[in-house]
Amino acid sequence: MRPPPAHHLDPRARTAWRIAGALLTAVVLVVVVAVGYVLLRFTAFPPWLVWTAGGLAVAAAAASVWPVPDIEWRHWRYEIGEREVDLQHGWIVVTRTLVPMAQIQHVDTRRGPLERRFGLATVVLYTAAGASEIPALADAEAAEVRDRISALANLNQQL
Amino acid sequence: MSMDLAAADVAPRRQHPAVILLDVGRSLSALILPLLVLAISRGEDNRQLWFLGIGGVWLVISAIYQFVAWRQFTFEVTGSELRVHSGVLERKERLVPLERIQAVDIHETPLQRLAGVVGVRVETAAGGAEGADVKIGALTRADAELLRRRLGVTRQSRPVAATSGPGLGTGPVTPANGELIRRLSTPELLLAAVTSGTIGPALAVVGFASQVIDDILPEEIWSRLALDATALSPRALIPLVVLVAVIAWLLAIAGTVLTYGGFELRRFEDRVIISHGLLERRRRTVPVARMQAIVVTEGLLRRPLGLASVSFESAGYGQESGESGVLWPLLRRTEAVALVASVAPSLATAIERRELAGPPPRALSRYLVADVASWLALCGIVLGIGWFLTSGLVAWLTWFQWWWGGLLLIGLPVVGLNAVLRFRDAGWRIDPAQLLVISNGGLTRKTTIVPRRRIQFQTVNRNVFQRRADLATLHMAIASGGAGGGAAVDHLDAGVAFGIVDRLGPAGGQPVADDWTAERTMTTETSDDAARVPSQTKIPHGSDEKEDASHVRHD
Repeated sequence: MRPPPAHHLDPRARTAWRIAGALLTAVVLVVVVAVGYVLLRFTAFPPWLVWTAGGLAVAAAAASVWPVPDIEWRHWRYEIGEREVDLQHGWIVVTRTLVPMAQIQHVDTRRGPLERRFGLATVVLYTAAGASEIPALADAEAAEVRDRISALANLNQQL
Repeated sequence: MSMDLAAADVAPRRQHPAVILLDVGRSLSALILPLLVLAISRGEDNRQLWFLGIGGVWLVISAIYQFVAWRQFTFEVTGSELRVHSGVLERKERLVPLERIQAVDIHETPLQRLAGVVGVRVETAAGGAEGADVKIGALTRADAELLRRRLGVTRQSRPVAATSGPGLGTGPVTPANGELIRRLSTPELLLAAVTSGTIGPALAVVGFASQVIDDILPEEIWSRLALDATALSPRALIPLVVLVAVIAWLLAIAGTVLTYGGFELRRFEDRVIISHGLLERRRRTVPVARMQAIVVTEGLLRRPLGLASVSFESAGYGQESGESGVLWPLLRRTEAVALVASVAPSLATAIERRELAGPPPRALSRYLVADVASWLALCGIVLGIGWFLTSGLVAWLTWFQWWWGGLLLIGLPVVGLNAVLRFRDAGWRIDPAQLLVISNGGLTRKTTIVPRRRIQFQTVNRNVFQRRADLATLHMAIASGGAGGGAAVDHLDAGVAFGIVDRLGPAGGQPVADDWTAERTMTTETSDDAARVPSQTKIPHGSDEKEDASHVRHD
């Protein structure tokens, strides 16, 4: 079995994901409080059910602040080879994706507002059967990866 | 406006500013209907002013947004790629290798004509998926032509492998000049129609079963239920369901007869001509070179009868979108490969189960446990919903009994059987001509044949349980109409799965890997025996074409 891909994502990814998770948690909290209030005030739902469901929802959202970003970061690996892009991510389901350069049609880098603040960028590879992403690389590295993939795609004639 | 000459780089530049007006106009058109409603509504208060104010604010925001979007959108041609910057909130930079560009399309809407500009679309094989190619909203025609020439330079120097083969483009193709391969007979058509529907017959079975239950269960249950329920009592429902099911089935049969009546398969040089339809006659010409995969499907009713249908996935090029279509609607499974060999020999290879390697014996429990557990979970959810609906919190369904969800447990043996069949049918094979066969079973079975060079990317998934048992799920992504399809096998030995990935990856083409042969002998009953391939002599045809393409690259 081949070894996992060599490179990790940028360490700042964890902080960026944590902030995104905090925003999500805030939204979930507001929704849970609103729905919970309506249910307790106007319906005959047993309070324990409402409290439990609401608590679980908030706890699940809070996991996206801690510890999910660290775990996901630890499991994200990538490697840009001469002839294929090698990606591995996930911890419940470990997904290994191999994209031949010869099948890559074009490459994007994307920087959303949060990513820009942290100097991060996402690389997206497109094939005729869909896209794959390498999230949260340092800006310069993402640009380098993108240019390299594009150059290699030019070299590896489409099959 | 000046643009550098065709062969040189195109410096970073923006679109024609008219694009701002065009896009603002488009975003305003969303407001036309509300404003119209407003204009004809009675306005005793100053509501109309309010809405006009909102429209004005919308206009300003939209104008600012489109201005920024215009400022951000630049494109350039550097060396061997088209580079596009865009995005207002999310900044995007797209690199399109010129090598991959399949079409540069210049078009003109009435509004664009009014503004004296044209739109340009640059397409690659990734097109089709939303936003997957490059759209330039406004350029002067001269600039657009220059850009097209610049992007086309490298394209003309290489042959477009899939579209310009020998024999293609020599006069129009008509059914008359194609060699007739096979014609669907009336008995075959009727058999195809009767076995086509799966929902219709399934509903009929459900209806029949509930009728039987109705007869068996003591009368007082129904009378007790009927007391509460009025129009929607189960008693009234059952004949209705049966009736609907029978009508649905008959309609499905009629639909199949009309669609596939007079089905004819012809071959003309390197193209397959498929024509069918009784009322509306459809004809489709598919170059074999564009076929991405062949799929042999045995439906629920067809599998026990040893029957199957054959379909193909074909990729889109330029303006044409990818499509999947029926190659042949009904035949004996054993004839499927011969049929494929007669129209697309480069895609024909043995698919019989004895030819395929499968998951290891320890995978059986994974198939069983996963399927049974998810069925039990479904029962639990239905029971939970049933309890919720009848718990008095919401007393909507008075005739509904909370334990009815438990009746789903009756289906458990079928789920178990399906899981065992899934295990037995799961299989793969790589033939000497680099064709991958993937088989997926159960009560229905799907077998996919895909050439190695048509695999867009490969994925190996391992969940917690699979990691413990050293198993893996293998997925092959194939270009097809719409979002992109694929084929997968569950619970292969992880080493074997990664072996397949290595073998089919870019580095695996050469007959090098010694460890590969070791892995292959590890699996049971793999047979890459060339003699078993039906049209073995014709298969090099497919690889010739590939050799040509790689040869041209080096000149």
